[in-house]
Amino acid sequence: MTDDNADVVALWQAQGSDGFHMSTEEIHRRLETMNRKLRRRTLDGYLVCAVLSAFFIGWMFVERNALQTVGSILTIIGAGYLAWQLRQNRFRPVTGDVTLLQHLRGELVRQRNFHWGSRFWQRIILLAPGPLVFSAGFVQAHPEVSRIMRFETISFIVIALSAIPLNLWMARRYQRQIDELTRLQEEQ
Amino acid sequence: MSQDALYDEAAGVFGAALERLAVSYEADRDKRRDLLQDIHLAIWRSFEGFAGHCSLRTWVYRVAHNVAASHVVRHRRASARPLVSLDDVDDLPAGGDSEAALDHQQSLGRLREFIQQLNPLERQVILLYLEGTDAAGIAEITGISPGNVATKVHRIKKILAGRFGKGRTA
Repeated sequence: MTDDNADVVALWQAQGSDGFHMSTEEIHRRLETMNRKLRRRTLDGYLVCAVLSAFFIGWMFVERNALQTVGSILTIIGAGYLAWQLRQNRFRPVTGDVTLLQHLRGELVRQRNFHWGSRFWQRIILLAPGPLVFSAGFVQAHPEVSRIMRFETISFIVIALSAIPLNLWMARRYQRQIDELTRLQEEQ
Repeated sequence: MSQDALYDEAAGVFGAALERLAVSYEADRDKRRDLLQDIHLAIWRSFEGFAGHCSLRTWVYRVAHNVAASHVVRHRRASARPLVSLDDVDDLPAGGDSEAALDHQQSLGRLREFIQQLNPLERQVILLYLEGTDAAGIAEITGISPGNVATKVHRIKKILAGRFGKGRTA
């Protein structure tokens, strides 16, 4: 280490400290709050899925139209899939058993898979058709609202389609970082 | 040793280094405080699985840097400035002038800013270097091979000497 760097190292290490420390009680209190928030968020997600499912199950008895029934069933399946994803994405605590290289790679792969690959297509395939088929059935049963429903359907399709390039772009950004880490591991 | 006792020891020995780590990962004061709390909570929680296969220092730094790296990956979308590698550092503006470099606070500010622009892996290497960790220790914590660490540390030394050393010219 050169003298210049010894100065820089000393400068870095001499930074003022706030003496941050958490008492055991505080840690337990914060962990409890954090767990409560996570539970609440997951339950809220389950609740949204349950309300959505309840609405479409009820609708199947309100109007006995084949297309609406198929749309309702597909939407209920989509809601079930969302609830399953919520369960899959549970919080996993960080451990000291993995190095930053492994941790970072796992984190980047998780983010990339969210935006592209099987999980992305599962979301599109399971969530998009339900409302579309339901809308078609609704127009069939109520032709007087066909104009507004057509507008809503087109908007929905445009939003769903625009999600594809946007997510692909995000996934490519993560993939580039994963490739850099792969190169680094291969050099070893 | 109990989870609480291990945490108390870690917080006592590495508390100041963890604060410096948080500073280099988050510029915003409030978010930095949250990040530091997350790091401390993660360290306490991680001691449940600590079997002593590595040193306390390695374990604490791994957990802390992993939490901080996740913070960068998850919050990066909000930031417009791209992260760079050590190889691209020459393209970054050095900032300040040679007189300003003599001022400790300004030098420290520039050093922090410089570190915050690096990608997580190289940020970890430079932070561990600044904390006085040797190449073998850095390799154990990061998972990068000792050879690669040596190359990176050599580059870091050159950059630091060039940008922040006494004899630096603007």
